[in-house]
Amino acid sequence: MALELVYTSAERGLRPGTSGFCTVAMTRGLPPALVPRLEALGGYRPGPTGDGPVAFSFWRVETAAGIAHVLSVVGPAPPDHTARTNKIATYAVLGPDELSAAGPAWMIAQGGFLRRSWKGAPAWIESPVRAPQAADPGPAECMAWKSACGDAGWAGVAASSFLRDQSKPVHVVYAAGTDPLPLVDEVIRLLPDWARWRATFSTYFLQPVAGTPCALRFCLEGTPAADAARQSKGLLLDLTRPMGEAPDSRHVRMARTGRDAEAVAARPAPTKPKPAAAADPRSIELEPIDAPAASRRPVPLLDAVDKTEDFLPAEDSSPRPWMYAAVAAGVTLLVLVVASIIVAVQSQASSGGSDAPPAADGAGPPPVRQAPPAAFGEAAPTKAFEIEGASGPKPGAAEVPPDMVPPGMGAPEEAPPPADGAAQDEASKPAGVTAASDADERARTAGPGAGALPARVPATAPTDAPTDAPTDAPADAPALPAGAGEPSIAAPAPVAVPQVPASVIAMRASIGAVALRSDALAMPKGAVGVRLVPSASLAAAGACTPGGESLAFGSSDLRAVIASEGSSRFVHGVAKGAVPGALATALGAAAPTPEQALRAALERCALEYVDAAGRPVARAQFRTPASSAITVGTGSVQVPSRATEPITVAVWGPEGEPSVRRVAAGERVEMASSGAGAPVLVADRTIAQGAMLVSAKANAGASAQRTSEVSTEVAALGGLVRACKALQGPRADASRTRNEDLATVQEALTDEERATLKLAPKAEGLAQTVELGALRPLLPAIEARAQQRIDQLMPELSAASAGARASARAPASWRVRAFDADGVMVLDSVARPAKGGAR
Amino acid sequence: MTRKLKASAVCPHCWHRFRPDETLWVAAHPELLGDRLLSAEDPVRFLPSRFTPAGEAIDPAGSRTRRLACPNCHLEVPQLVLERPMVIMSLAGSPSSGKSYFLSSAMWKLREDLARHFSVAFTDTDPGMNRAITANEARLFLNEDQTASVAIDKTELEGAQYNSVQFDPGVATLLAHPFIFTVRPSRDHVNGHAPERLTQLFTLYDNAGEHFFPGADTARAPGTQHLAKAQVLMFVFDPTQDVRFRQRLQGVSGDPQLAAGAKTTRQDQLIVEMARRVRVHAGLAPQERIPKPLFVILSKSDIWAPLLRDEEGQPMDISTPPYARERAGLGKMSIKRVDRVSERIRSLLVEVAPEVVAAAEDAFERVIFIPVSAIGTSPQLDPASGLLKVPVARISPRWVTVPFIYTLARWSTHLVASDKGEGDASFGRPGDSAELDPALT
Ligand SMILES: Nc1nc2c(ncn2[C@@H]2O[C@H](COP(=O)(O)OP(=O)(O)OP(=O)(O)O)[C@@H](O)[C@H]2O)c(=O)[nH]1
Ligand SMILES: [Mg+2]
Ligand SMILES: [Zn+2]
Repeated sequence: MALELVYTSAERGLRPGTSGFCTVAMTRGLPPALVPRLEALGGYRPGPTGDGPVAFSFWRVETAAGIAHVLSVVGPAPPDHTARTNKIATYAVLGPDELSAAGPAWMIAQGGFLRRSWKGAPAWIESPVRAPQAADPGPAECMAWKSACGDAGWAGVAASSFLRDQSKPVHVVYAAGTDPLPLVDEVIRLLPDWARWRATFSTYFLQPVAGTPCALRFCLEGTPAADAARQSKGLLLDLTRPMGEAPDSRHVRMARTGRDAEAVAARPAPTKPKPAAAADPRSIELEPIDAPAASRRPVPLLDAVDKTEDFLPAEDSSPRPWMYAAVAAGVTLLVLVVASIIVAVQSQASSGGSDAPPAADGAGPPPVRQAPPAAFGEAAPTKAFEIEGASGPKPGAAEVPPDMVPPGMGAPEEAPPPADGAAQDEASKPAGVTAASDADERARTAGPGAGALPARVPATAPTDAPTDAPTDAPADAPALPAGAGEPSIAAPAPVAVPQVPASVIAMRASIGAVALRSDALAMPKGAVGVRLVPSASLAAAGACTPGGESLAFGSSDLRAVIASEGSSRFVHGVAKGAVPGALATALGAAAPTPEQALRAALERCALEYVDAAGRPVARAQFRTPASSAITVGTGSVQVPSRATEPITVAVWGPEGEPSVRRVAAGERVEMASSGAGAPVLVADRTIAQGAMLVSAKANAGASAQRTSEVSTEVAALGGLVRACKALQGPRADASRTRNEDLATVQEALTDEERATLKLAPKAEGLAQTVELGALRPLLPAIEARAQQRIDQLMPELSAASAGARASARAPASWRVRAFDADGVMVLDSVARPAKGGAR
Repeated sequence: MTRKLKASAVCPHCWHRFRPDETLWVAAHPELLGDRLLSAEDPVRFLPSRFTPAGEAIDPAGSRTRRLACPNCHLEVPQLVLERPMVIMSLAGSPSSGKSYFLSSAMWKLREDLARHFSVAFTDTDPGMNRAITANEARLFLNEDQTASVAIDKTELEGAQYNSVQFDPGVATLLAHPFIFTVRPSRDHVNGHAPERLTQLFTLYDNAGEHFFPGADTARAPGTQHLAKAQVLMFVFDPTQDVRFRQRLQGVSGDPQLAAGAKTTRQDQLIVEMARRVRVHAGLAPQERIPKPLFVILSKSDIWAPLLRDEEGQPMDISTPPYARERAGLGKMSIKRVDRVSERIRSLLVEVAPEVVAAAEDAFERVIFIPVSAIGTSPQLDPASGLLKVPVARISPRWVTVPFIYTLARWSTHLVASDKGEGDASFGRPGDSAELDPALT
């Protein structure tokens, strides 16, 4: 039986003391926790013409007790007791036995089921109402769609988009005069029966409510929601514009003919579908929360999982180069192997573009899913999703193809027929339809050469980084050039080797996945290979790097491998099993998880790009160094450091050769860079235990900064002197600049002077003004004071500006780097003069 | 340009105080949708580790972004909120007391009068965030059809005026849209040479009156918790909802809101409830006076102005503004005149509805009574729709800007001159201005 709630603005509400917008009627027994949840869904705003359409909606409201299936009608109501605009919202919470196979849109359209008005005093509704029931009407020819846009097939496009990913809303924009409810109903009828009560919708969608999804959003032309729909990334069907023909697919044919030929062929003896809820043996009020409920928080960067699934060989979860290629293609690279760490360093050769991996190639066949995995969490995972030592939520719950989720919590064997043609629908998207951001769409636009990593930021390469065009590196160079030999273990980082910036792009601790990527635009000049170099402390902890291609710790299950595809390099890690004690000790972590340990270990590794002779020409690291700029004369940058080990600091002057100093623990070192006007860098490890503070101070004597400070002050004083003179002049009262002059002088008053003028101290900052008459006696003293200070400053100014001229050729900033004992860069910054002089 | 950040800032959506380095950024890459706390269409919020030289953050997919978000509620926060002092002004009052009309009218007039008389620019900090209020302003003041009659909709408790955030998975908490305005000296202001230093923000909310009823302060709709964070509180008292005022106004005004049968409200109880919430959320003892000013805004003064008399029994001028340009680049507020009017309104209230004065003065250290009329005329019942509508040609607001400019003149600095004299030692001291924003100091 369905429970009702009626919400509107009334003089008196059901709950004592309420008035205005409030609940005026409600079925006894409606769970109190649901009341606010329902009320929050009733936002309403009249349409563009001022008189609003009625919003029919179906919601799945998740509560602690399970999912409530809620139908609602919200629409305008006659003016309330204050003679202002009003609305009325009616909700029906359906019982589990009432989810008619005909679907929610059909049910809501049954006249009389949902109230449209409430008259009289607030009241409890004593008896639940019976929801209308009907047998499964099956798909029908979508006549409403045909008359709305010319081709009934578009209903099929909407249906298959919904089936492909329930979490991605489908937007439909319709013009005033179109009745959206039949459109919704026709789409829902195309869905398999188990999906019908998952198809949340609103016929007059206004704005999303966080946590309460709305899958089929019908937006009225002219509303902000319609504008938002046109900006959205998912499927948009704009019925206000010419639509053309829908691309052929199973659901499109179904929508046009009203028959599901494939299903008939596949199931010669279809069983009579039972109401969806009947599958649920429990007789609780609400449907338990199931897998899609857990998907309410789609995980960023993970939405490509059904894509990667296509790449994954079901029988082998170890990394393969072509998997990295998929990553290179811009497919976000998480979750290839659950509870593994993926590290990627990528650099692009100018030759890029031709090495698109086959699976990501738009010209290739559309991805076809592997055998359907059974419902997540319940069924035994297939090999492709094998979980080893994973902690946290099962991955991919958000991404299970919706059409593979059985109704309710149905057992795997109840799974509906797979691959219902959804993939076909999108294989040929016509113009005029905004494509859903599904996997193959992404793959089509993505490629290592173009658009794979959109809006790439130009590498803020250090001044000494090669800026030349890249490289003749062979596209498929081996990880190590022939004859380069074993890489030197734990060579200290050569401070001057150019850095290829690399950084963490995503991390999901709960599933232990980490992704790191370099932002290098070009393969460093001369580089023909890459090798993985562990730091000294890792080497001491038993790290070995066979061939420079991989990282391992004895026989443990912590491993990382470099792979190459075209010009790109990736490091892919797998972390499971126990963390070797020596490694944990080296990392200084008490009991790291395998993921944490591998990630920390990789942060102590470098990727060296080597030339044909095996010499490093560039390096990348996964630890993000501190990078805040060091402003000369103000503040300092904190560089986290291990307590006992020395840190190497380097600062580059204009000549290109850095000054390099070792700073031991507890030491404070001042180092001057070469060149006129260069600041003195101060690396201080005496203050903070676990950090080195790096600051810069102006080199005593001339500096551009001091020049500008002094000249600013002299200019201000000059203005003050002028103002004093003007105000003492004979025509001061009539002067055009009188007010400005007054303000200038007032600004310069000392607190004593302010006191004599009965002004509050300056610090209080009150907007007080002073009369010229009162100020006049003070003017000579103020003027003299200003003049005296100018005389004082002038010699310094001329000296300073001479110095500034001398240092004009000096760089405006000085690169500063620091490396820890492992050779890992911990600071990558610039020191630069303060702008505009000091206050 | 280097811009100075405050040591900490208060989120205008959820009133969480956070440090600049905790600020989240809004991803710009089109693939990064589906924020944990917001909806599936909202871009992910992230803590950046990489920035461009121009100060943009680089999102996890490599796109640059400038948009900032609160670390607690993930809603977008304008950059200025991190940089400049923000004054939260809370507006409370019963349903239909005239809050929405007052707010729209006051914001429109502030734009006009602060520029005209004070050389101060009053602008939308983020026009997108203020769209609801600017639409209402346009409805009242920018209607091309001068024969039209218009109405502002009753404020909803859900829907477009709220952002929904899932602090608990799957459960939407509705947070009222803040309206944020930038107050900044314009170039011709006497202090126009230092506009950055004198810039401050006003943040306001248009709550539904129902939010202020006892029992409406729920976790799902913590819609009025700004009361506790506000530096300035305003309570809109609607005399037409008070039985005794209604009796006195029979024959004085023909406003349809005085028609027989209209609902009346115990507004003193709303003040008590408001004070209770301020104390609870600010951690004050139940009997402690709240050390903040309360403006009791008597709305719809066009209706009841004839009841107000000065000491001599003469009608008082509560329509010409109590401020004017003092000299080029500086405007002056007559705080004395406002205080005089406040005093007389207090007397009127003591006579007609004494419990309102008692409730206000019992809870707040300083109470100022201000008469306003958002539209300066009576709405008329539109027979076709049954709605009260206002003929646009007759709209002429009175004193709607006064609480705001009074605030600037009294507790702010260097923007507005005033005739604030000596005396009144307990009030208007430097401590007050510090209180306007602790982060300012
Ligand atoms: N006479 C007169 N009527 C006014 C004035 N301002 C508002 N009103 C009327 O007061 C009624 C309520 O105004 P609103 O601003 O919507 O009230 P509110 O406080 O926002 O109410 P809720 O949104 O329900 O909380 C409207 O019908 C207006 O016509 C005014 O200055 N004079
Ligand atoms: Mg309102
Ligand atoms: Zn917040």
